[in-house]
Amino acid sequence: MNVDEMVRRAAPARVDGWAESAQGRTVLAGVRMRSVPRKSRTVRRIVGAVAVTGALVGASAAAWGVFGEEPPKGWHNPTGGVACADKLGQPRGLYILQPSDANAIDQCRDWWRTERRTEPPEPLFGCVIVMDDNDGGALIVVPGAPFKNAADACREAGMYAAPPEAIANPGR
Amino acid sequence: MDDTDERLERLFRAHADGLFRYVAHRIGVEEAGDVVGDTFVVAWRKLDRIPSGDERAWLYGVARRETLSRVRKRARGDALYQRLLNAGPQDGADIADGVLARLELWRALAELGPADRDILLTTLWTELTPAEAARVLGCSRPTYAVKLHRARRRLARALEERDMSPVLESVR
Repeated sequence: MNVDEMVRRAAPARVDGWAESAQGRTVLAGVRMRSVPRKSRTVRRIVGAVAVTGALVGASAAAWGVFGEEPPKGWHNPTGGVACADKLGQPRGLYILQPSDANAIDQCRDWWRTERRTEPPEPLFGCVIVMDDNDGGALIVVPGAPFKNAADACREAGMYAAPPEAIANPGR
Repeated sequence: MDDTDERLERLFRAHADGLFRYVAHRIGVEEAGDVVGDTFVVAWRKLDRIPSGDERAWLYGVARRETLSRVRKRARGDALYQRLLNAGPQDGADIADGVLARLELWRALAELGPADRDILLTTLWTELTPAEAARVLGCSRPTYAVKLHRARRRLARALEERDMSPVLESVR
């Protein structure tokens, strides 16, 4: 049995019918009494939209300026493992390989050939995500097309470009 | 009943049971109804901003934040996991149903860091898709996949220390 099955089997019993129970109906009635849906006012919406757009533009510009460059000093890959993404951006699948000292991009080329039974979609680039909770970072190899270099591809994916030494020897 | 009332009613019928279960695991059944109520108060106020087709992830995201906020405010910390840590066979499950193994698993979960527990239970004790779970947890798909993988590894290690050896498969 794998970890997922063990955790699923340990889940407390399903709760069915709470929404229709007396407690559920009381909660819903309480929701309706505690508030009314806020009707949008045109002025408020325009002001809000301008403020939000400004904030997003500022945040995007800041992020755009950072992503694609090398990750912050002190980042580390605690497991030494490499993940292969099946596409750039928001991948549907991210396949995490066993830790190895082999070149990260070569590891993912092998993965494409052996697991996906296809030639790797070159170019492949090494990118880095940095966790926000002191859990270090992770090295992710992404298909880079249509980009010609790691900086642009990793920026597109919202990640940092992996330093060459991390790609050459991810397990170190 | 106008359109907003009907939408609220539909959302409540479709998701309140799952939300109650998700919240009850983490904060106890005593407060679960209150958290579900608070979640739907937010939903009621922001009904026109809940993305159509993405309601489940939106609601679970609000419920998770409400739950974490309550857990943080508790002087005694995460009561549910204290209860899991101290749980005994008298908790109602059948010995023949593997209750001892379940208790060991709960204790292993209880000893993980809160971020690991959060991602494991949000993934494995709900019916959220990986994309939805990533949105609920407020991270990108690659970050979600890496964090989930590491949480699984740490749980597997904790179970091995208890002589429960799960199979840790290569993870998508």
